[in-house]
This record gives sequence, structure tokens and C-alpha cells, in this order.
Amino acid sequence: MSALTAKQYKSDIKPVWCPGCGDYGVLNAICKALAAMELPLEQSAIISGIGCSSRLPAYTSLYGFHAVHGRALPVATGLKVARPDLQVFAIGGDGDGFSIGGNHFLHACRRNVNLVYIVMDNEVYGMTKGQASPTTPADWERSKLTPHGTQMRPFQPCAIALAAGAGFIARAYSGDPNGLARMIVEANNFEGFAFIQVLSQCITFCPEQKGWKQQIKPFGLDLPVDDPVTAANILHGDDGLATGIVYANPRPVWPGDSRKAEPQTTGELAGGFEI
Amino acid sequence: MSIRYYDEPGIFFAHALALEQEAAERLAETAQMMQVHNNNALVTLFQELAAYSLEHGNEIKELAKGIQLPELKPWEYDWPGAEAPESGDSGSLHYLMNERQALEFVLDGEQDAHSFYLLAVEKTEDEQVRKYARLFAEEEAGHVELIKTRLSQSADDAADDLEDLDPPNMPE
Repeated sequence: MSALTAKQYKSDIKPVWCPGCGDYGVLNAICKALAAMELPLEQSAIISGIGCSSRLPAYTSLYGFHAVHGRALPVATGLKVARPDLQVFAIGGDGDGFSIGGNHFLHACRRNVNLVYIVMDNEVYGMTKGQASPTTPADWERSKLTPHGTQMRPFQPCAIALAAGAGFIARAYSGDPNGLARMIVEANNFEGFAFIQVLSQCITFCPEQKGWKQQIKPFGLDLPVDDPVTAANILHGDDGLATGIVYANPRPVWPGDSRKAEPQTTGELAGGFEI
Repeated sequence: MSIRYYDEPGIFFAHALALEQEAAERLAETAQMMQVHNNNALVTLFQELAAYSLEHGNEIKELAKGIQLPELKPWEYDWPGAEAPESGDSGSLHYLMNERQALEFVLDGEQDAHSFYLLAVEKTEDEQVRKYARLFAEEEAGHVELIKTRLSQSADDAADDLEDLDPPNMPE
């Protein structure tokens, strides 16, 4: 069988995202990465939570699961542990991943299951009409729920992923789908939990994000580093708009080798319940 | 050293083909976006333009017959920007855009494609690449003129500021 084109990794279901939404770029990047890796459709799965960006699995022709709000990572973890032969991608937005699913994010970084987690970060709850999310700038006053801004320090996804133990940490921009495709390939080749924060503009509720095109730039350093202290200095010193793979340092994935001795067939599993 | 798109015919044609394919996909995707958002006036326009890009891609494929095209990964293309030049800036799209704004979006892409081929004419040391780069630059210049003509025929729309009179923010 000849390799599939990026377009063939898309389904016939057409996205309902707003024109100008960065999530189109992420969908294109994912499909380009899948085509570049020549991943068979039946050997890959894409799991999401809830939100605009979490609609993405339906727009691909992979097996997918549109899970419960904030629970993309537990479902993806379960799938990868049950079916280690699959390439598993968890995806979602900043609200889904860092607020409702924030606790799962921390423990997924710590647990280090071999999967890729892509967060489309537009710094807003778009699907529910534009409320502040964990990554919203403190002085963002466009929502009537926070007329004086959130007055809270925004969540720092990459720095928190590092502190929680993620082995692969990157930041990308949806306006560079080819660069993001490359990053997804590298994340997929990484042995362990790989996290990519994608700055993906919401032009409807945050039209100021159109300016990202001019503001986003590469880290401009010799990256990735494998020293967590150096990575922490880089991540705490940047303005949140620099892109690149910051940190790559593999460590033992979960579950480890001991799991291989566990029952594999239904017969063996049934044996475990015998009195 | 990374490749340069004007160095040799195979690489050049791989770029020319990808440029039209990506433009066709972007325009078809934009037509579908406008359909979903009930901006029906623009659906036919973007579909028509996508068909042109597809047709030009097929013409390039014909011209490239007999030339060995390299298989490039998406990030291995030597584009001047983040994406293929004719794809336009998808971040500038809007569900309320009018025909004039849509044509301006397309014009930007056509002008970028024109500059892309002009640069190849200027920089290449390969005669075959120069010949085809010149041909494609002329074609793109023709597209630019066509879009400009359509723009001049397009009605001046008072709603150019994309203001939504029924904005998506709910009163709270």
C-alpha cells in the first residue's frame, strides 16, 4: 500500500471552527506529521476532552475519542497502557487541559506514559463565548465575567510540565504548521510523555492574537537542553511567545517492564479471579 | 546545508507543485469555512479559485513529467515564510469578510507567489529552472492582474471593519 497523503488523514466531516482560528493550522500540522511518519490509520488514535479544539478527532480519519471535559489524558493513558502498540495522541485546549484537567496534566507529566499531548492554547474559553482561562493574561478585560482582568498570574504550561516531570517539552505556533508537524514527529519519536503547547489564536474572542504572527519567534538558543535547571531558567525567562523544543530528557516510561509479567489474555485474566 | 528551491529542476518543480496544491487546499478549506458560517456569497468565489489552483497544479505536473521530483517532508521545503507562498495568511480570515476582503486575501497570496518565482529567476544558476521560473512568474503576474480587475469591479462594502452587529459575546 502506498503512503497516505496528509489530506487522507482528514475525515469527511468539515470543521465548524471560525475562519481564522489557529486550530485549522494544528489539524493540518497533525495530518502532515502523520503522513510524514506514514502511520497506518488503524495503528493510531487521537483522544480529546471538550472545547473548540477538542472537536479535532472527528476531523481526522484516525480512531478517536471525544472524551469528558478535562479527561483526555486519563483516557489516553488508559488506551496506551492497554494497547502499547498504538500511537496515542491526546489533544485539547488550555481550559480543558490546565483547568478542568489540570490535575491530570500534572500526573501525566509525572507518570510518563509514552504518548504525545498537544494543547491548543488560545488563552480563552472559546466554545462558551469567551471567558478567561488559566493562561489568559492578567489584564485581559474583554470578558464581562472579568471586567477588570483576571488579576491572576497566568498558568505557565511548559514550566509546570517541567516541574511535574515531563521529559519532552515544546512550544509551537499554529501559524507554522510545517514547523509544528516536524515537532509532532519528534515528540512521537520521543520515548515518554511528550508535551507540546501550541499557541493557537482565537480571532473571535481575542482578536489581539492576530499580532502573534509578528511577535512569535524561535527561542534562538541551542535547544533542546537535557538539564532541567537550564530548561527552567529558559522557561522562566521567556515571554511565553518563543517557540522550539526546549527540553528532551528521556526517563523510564510507565508502566515499566514489571507489567509485562501481568496477564495478557482473557484466560490469564480470569485465572486471577479464581479462589 | 538546507536545500534552495531554485537550485535544480527537481526541487524547483516539487516546490511549484506543492505551492499550487497547498493553495488549492487552503482555498477549498476556506470555501467550506464560509459555508459553515453562512457567508454564502464567498463560497462560490473560494471554490472557483481553488479549482484554478488545482488546474495550475495539474499543468505543472504535466510540465514536470520526466523530471525526478524529490519526496520532501513538509518542513524541508524552502519557503520564504512559514507556509507555501500562495496559501495566504489564514489568520486574516474572518466569518464576516466580504468579497473585497476575500479578494485581497487571495491577492496577497498571488503576489507572494509572483515574488517567489521572480526571486528564482534572479538567483538560480540553472537555465531550466530560470526558464520555468520566468514562465510561472508571468502566470502569477497574470493572476495578480485578474484579481486586481475583479477587485476594481467589486462593490465598495461599508462593512469593511468586520463589526458583528450580533456579537458572539453573551450579555452577562
